[in-house]
Formats: sequence, C-alpha cells, structure tokens
Amino acid sequence: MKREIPILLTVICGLLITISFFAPSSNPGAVPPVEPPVWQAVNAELLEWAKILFAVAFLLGIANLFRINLKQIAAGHEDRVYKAVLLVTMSGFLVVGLADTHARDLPRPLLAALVPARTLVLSDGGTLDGYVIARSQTDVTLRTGPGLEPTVIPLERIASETAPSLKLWIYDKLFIPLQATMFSLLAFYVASAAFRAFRARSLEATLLLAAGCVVMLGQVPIGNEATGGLAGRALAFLMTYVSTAGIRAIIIGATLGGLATGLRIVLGIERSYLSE
Amino acid sequence: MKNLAAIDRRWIFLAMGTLVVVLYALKIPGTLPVNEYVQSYYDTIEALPEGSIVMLAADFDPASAAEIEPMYVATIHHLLRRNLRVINVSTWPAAPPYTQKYFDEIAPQYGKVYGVDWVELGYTPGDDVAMGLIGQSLKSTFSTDDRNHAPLAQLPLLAEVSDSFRGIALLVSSSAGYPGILEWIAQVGGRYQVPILTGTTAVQTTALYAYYPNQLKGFLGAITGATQYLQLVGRDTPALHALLAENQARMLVQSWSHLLIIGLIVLGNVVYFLGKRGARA
Repeated sequence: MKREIPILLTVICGLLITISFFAPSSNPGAVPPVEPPVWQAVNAELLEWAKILFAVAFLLGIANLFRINLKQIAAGHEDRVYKAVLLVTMSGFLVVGLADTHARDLPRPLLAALVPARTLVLSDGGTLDGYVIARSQTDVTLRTGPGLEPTVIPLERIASETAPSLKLWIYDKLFIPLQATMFSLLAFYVASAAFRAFRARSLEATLLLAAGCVVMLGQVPIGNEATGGLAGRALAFLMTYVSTAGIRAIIIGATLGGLATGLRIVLGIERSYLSE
Repeated sequence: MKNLAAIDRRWIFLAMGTLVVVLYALKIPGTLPVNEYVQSYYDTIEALPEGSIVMLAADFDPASAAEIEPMYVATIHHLLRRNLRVINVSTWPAAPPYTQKYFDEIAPQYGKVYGVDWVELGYTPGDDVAMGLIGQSLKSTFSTDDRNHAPLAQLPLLAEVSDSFRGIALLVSSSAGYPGILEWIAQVGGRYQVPILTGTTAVQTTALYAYYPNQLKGFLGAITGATQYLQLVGRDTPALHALLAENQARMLVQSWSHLLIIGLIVLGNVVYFLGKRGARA
C-alpha cells in the first residue's frame, strides 16, 4: 500500500490537471476562453494544494538548514563562525519580516521593539507617531500614544505619511549591495576565463569563438561603429536564423521528452520519484 | 611567451576593474540603433487603449537589478504615462520591495492613486504552479495586497478583473531566470491568449528569439535592450532623461569590456598556439 497509494494519487492528480487543459470551453467564442466551472474548480484546488506544499517546503528547508548547521557548529567545524552568522542572520530577518507583515496583530511590547513607527504629518503642522491597523476611504485607525491605543484620524487631517521599515532598511543597506557584489564578480571571472579557457582547439570551438566575438561586437555601439554596422547585421543573422533554429529544435525536443516523461508518470510507469 | 601564459589572473582582474571604473567615471553616452524586438515592445504598449489593465510581473532580485532595473523603471513610466493601470505580482520573494520603491517614486509624478491606478499584490510561492494559479484565478491566489495588507475587495482596480485572466490586456514580465518569462508563456500566454512582453538578463535573451513574434510580442535584452527602449520612451518622458544618460554611459563601459574580453580571447589563443609550436620545435 505504501507504493500503490502515492501512484494512485499521482495518476488521479495528473489526469485531472491534464483534462482541465483540454476540457471544451463552455463559451467557445469567448476570448480568452472561459473554462467550464467544474474543471476550473478542480484545477484551482489542486494548484492551491501544490502552492501550500511549496510553502511547507520552505519551512522544511529552514528546519533542515538549522539541523545541519547546528550539528556542524556543535562538532566544531572549521566554518562554524560563518554557519553561526548564517543562522543568526536568517533568524533575525525572519523575525523582522514576520513582524513587519503582521504588525497589526502584534502585542504591544513586540510591536514597539520590532517595528519602527510611522509618522503622520497632520495638516495643522503637528505629527503623530504610531502603527496603522486599518484604513478606510474616510479615515485611518492608528495605534498611538504610550499605551498604543487605537485612534481614528480622518483623512483630511493627514498631510503626508512616512513609513520607515526595518525590513526595507536591511534589504536596501545589506541585501542589495551584497547580492550586487556577488553578481558583479562575474565580469572578472569571465575576463579571466576568456584568456585561459576559450581555445580554438577544433573546428567547432573555432566557430563558437568566432560567433561569440561577433555577438559581443554587434551588441555594443563601438563594435557597430568600428565595423560600419556589419557586426550588428551579423549579430541579427546569427540570432534570428542560426541560434533560433537550434534553440527551437532543442525546445521542441525537450518538450516532447517532458511530455513522454509526464505521460509515463501519470500512467504509473515512471516511478523514480518514489525512489524506486 | 611562457610568462604570458602563466600570467597571474589578478592582472586581468585589475585591467577589467580599472577599465570599468575609469570609463564609468567619464560618463560618455553611446547610442544604439533600436532593433525590431525593442520597437515591438514599445509599440505593443503604445497600442493599448487608455485605461487598459496590465499585469507587471517582477521576477527578479537584487543580483540581476543592474540589468533589469532600468527596463523595469522605464516600463513603469511608460505604462503610467499612457494612463494604463497596473497590477503588480512577483514570483521572486526579493522583488516586491523594488516594486514598492519605484511606484512610491513614479506614481505621484503622474498623479496616480493606489488601488485605482495600480495595486501591489506582492510575492506568491509556487513558481510556475503559482503562475498557473494566477492565470486561473488572481483573487484566490492573493488574499490581501502587499502594500497595506488590505482585502482585495477594497481595491477598486481589481473589481474589473475576473478569473481566466479576463480584464487583463497585457502581461509584462521583468525576468531574471526561473521562474520567469518562459514559465509565464507556458502557464498563461497560450492558455488565456494574453499578449506577453518581457525584459530579461543577457543570458536569457538568446532563448527568446524562438518565441517572437507569436508567444512574445516583443522583448528587451539586458542593458542593450533597456538602453534602446529608454531611447524610445525617454523622448516623451523627461523624468527618464537622467536614467537614459546613465544607461548610455553604461554602454561605453560595456563596449570596452566586450573589446577587452575579445582581446583576451585572441591573446590567449596566440599564446596557446605559439606555445604549442614551441613545444613541437
């Protein structure tokens, strides 16, 4: 039964999703086509389950990351400091992010500690610091004052609003520069690889090299100007005819392969996902 | 020649670094002829009737912002200047802060009101499954918006959108990889017959030619595509002149970086063949 039930579930879900793609439209003339409600409902429900599973996988990933890294820190791994930084940073950002998203539900001490207050500049020149917990078309409900009691402020009394966010501060000041730095290193490694690895060792490698150089020249103003536009025309020819023909062949081949694999899974023939 | 073959790679790093820093500081603009893919991207947006609803998918993160950000900003300007209404979604968790930041900056310039002219629905997990779900039913995919965490029923713009992508005239994906434009084409484009545009990183661009002009109505390939698009949008959008000049200056940096890489390839091969000949002799 441990084998049969997963296979049965896979077959049922696979068939239902497939049928929903090919189910006849209840209104054939409609653009975009209107799907029959029953298939739409089944398809939406299954996709919703998949989305929930995806979110649960995030939690499992975090738990697993903690388990593995804590074990290695405890064992005195040579990178234990970096592993500790990873766990502390991840936990910190998780707490800040959750607090930011659920600010209106947080108890008072946590709210004051984790979420920077918004500042409402009033039309009479005064300011009011607090946390917005509701908005309507006529007013804003703000938790303000020492007791963070809810106060309703009519919209016409508000001139402007500033909303500092610890989450966005971490994002802007740490996350963006770190990710941009990592990505920009690519330019240096590509330059080094160009000198060391791109060798015209065979006819195929020579063609690849020549095509690469033409594409690089054709992409930039200097390359175009230096060749009187020839590099740009050569680039267009290579990309439109040569490269596209190859890519279309690969896409069609890979799609047919995917279709065959999908069919094998749906029919219960392919069972590698069960570790068989 | 032996010394050259064994050159410390840090000299190459230094050459590339110096080139980039010096040329970037010079800020000399370089213009490009606009290719048909970029022109078609621009024309597709221009052809939409005023008030049409466009879904703008931010499928990128800070690592690829250098390539994607200029085209993303220019697209927001273009959409709002044309009085098109925008629904923002993202399948990348790190993208929504960009959306919020740029709409905060750009929307007031065109007098746009949140909830009426644009909404931010934020990130949804599930990659291509989430895209399928968005296509099937936007309102069951997101329960609240991302900006105010308000129920979707409070956002007037969404009253005009219903299941199966009805009410949405165009999908634009700023895509840096998986999940991105190829998944939108598979999950939404063909199924709901919605026209799609995209701006992507350079490594993704090659794959896009195969989808033009049927599944994709137009695309912007990396900084080159973004610069060409900015040349078109920037003509009627004074707010983009600074970004256009910045991007045109980047083209000079990119030009010489490409030339340096080509030079290194040639030099590397010369060293390789001379070394081979020497060994034979």
